[in-house]
Amino acid sequence: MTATTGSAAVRAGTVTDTTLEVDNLVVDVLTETGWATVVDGVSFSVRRGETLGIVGESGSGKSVTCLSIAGLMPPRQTRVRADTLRLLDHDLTRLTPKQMSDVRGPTISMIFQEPMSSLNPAFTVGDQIAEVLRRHEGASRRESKRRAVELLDRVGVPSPARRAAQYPFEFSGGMRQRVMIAIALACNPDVIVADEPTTALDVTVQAQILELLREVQHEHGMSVIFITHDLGVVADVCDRVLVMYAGQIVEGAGLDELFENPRHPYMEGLLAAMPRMDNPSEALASIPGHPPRIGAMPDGCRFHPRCRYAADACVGGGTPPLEVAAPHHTTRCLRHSELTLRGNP
Amino acid sequence: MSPSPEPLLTVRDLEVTFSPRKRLFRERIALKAVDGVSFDLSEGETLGLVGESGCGKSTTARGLMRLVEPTGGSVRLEGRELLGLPAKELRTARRDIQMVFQDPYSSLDPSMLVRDSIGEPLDVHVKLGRTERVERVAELLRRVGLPPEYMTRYPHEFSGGQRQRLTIARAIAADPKILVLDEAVSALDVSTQNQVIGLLEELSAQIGLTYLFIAHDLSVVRHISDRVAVMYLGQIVEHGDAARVFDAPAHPYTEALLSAVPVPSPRTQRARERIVLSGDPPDPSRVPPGCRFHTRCAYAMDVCRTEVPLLTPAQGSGEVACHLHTAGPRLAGASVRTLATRSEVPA
Repeated sequence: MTATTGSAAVRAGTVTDTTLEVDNLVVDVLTETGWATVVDGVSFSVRRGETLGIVGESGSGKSVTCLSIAGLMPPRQTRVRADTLRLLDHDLTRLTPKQMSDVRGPTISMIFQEPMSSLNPAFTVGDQIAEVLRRHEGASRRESKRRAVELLDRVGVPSPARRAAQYPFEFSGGMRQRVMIAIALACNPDVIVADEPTTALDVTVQAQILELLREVQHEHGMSVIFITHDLGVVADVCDRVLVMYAGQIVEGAGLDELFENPRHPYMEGLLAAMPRMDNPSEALASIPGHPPRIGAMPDGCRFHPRCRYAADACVGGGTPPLEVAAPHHTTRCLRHSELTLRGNP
Repeated sequence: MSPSPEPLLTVRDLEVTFSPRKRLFRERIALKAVDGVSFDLSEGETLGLVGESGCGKSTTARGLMRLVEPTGGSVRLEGRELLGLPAKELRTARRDIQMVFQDPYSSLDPSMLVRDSIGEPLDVHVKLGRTERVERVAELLRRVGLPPEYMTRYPHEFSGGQRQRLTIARAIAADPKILVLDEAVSALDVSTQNQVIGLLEELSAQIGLTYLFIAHDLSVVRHISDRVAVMYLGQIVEHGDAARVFDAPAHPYTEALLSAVPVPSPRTQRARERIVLSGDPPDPSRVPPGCRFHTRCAYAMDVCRTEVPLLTPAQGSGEVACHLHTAGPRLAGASVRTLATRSEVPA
């Protein structure tokens, strides 16, 4: 990677430690019955070099949050508002879609769950990596081709020169995900959003991909936002974690703190529900009921219909505020100071 | 597992061969997706079948149900051979083995009422009068934890977890003895998944159902299975009691597979020894000579590259197909591999 002056490296000296700052993000999507809020007042920031996990069940708004930040939600069916949406020195709330598209490649890129549908089946893998380099860095055809091969080599694709000339269908799931990572790395971005990148893979291949992500992060010092529902993967890769439920952040803390001392009953429930290979005798707990449907959020705490600790105060009124329960540990639970919740030591 | 008088299901040397054409006008090649798989299933037990995608675990299930036609071997259900059985007799035999698939969205007909989806196997196998049929469907719905009123609804009105309950209700409608669950809980969120697993455990306790549980999520398999069989490239490389296989894996592949599963506890996860397997499983149309795993095995010896290892008794329970246990170095009368295994100690 000596051919480029890494944009991340250049900016590292000049900008603050925070690469991404999100304050009060609200996302509405158009449903059959009108506009519905799917992300409701999400605020967080990501530091350089850290891996921030976002966990939650399907429909909790974790993917929509990240897609909205990257400006990748379909514009006609989505309304995105935020008090602050700052990526390095770019104010994303003020960018036109065209400007956003220029900013995206060199600053933020995404890796999705399904590498087959994220790659174009009609172009060779090498062309698809080269395209990114030509589009964002104005690299020449020859230069971009050469660097595509370099990138494939970097992400551990064997015989990269030969593989660059092949089409996506000739790659296995794990190899395709490596190609996606190569594309995401192409412009040396400051932030990588990985949305369930290993969910479709075998555990053996998942271990390889997680190892690769760790390596490239270590090398380039980028921030990674890791979206997943698998708490095992979270424990393996994240530094800090946000827990989302029904469109809101309900808890946020450092990795160990969150797993050892969860302060929201939802997180306690998620931990208890994970079947553990190292502790099979434990009965599998499950959180009763289902997450609320979009547009039908319960009053009060959104989790109260499923919460075993719900009291009268939790049932009515607005959603409880996100409170500081301990240093660097926030929770959206009214009863956090009275409850002693069980974690996974 | 103590040998019970007669296993419910006996699978011997099952073989399923596909012959895809690699290129148009080229010779067909033979691809053995399942290559000599044998196991027993005793009444009331749950056998977990694990392995990477493409290892042949689903094809094994489909082969024994003859959803794909096996090219060799034998499948006996209570002593009766299923392979070669004429279509009509096969249909009655299938009443005893039912299957639940991964995707509850595509396994229910969207244009059929729940009542008719669940009632269909009753029409084929039991033939009840109208009111009896409605009563039976209501009872099945109750049994899987859904209100009987749901029988007049359509599948689209249900969530993924509820749909999986419906497919289970349909699978048990005609009182089968064996349920084959092919990634049946894999598409569900963890808390929904646990509700469905709870239901399966309840059903096995109540009506003595026997399960062949196929899944790639090893934590779930460990939780639900009495015995586990590990497949690699179309063959079973190790099997035994779940506790033995998970705590003291005898095959290097099993060991690597288990070490790759991240544990939801940061401290334990950091302390674990991880074995990252290099590369993907080999192309099943070009199986490596000798032990099929030798190309990715950290312990491979010369003999592994030439001789095919046979299943031999594993210390504790079950069997393992690995030269380390027969030709490998020995210490204190046991193979080194067995001595070296340590069970996970949570911090």
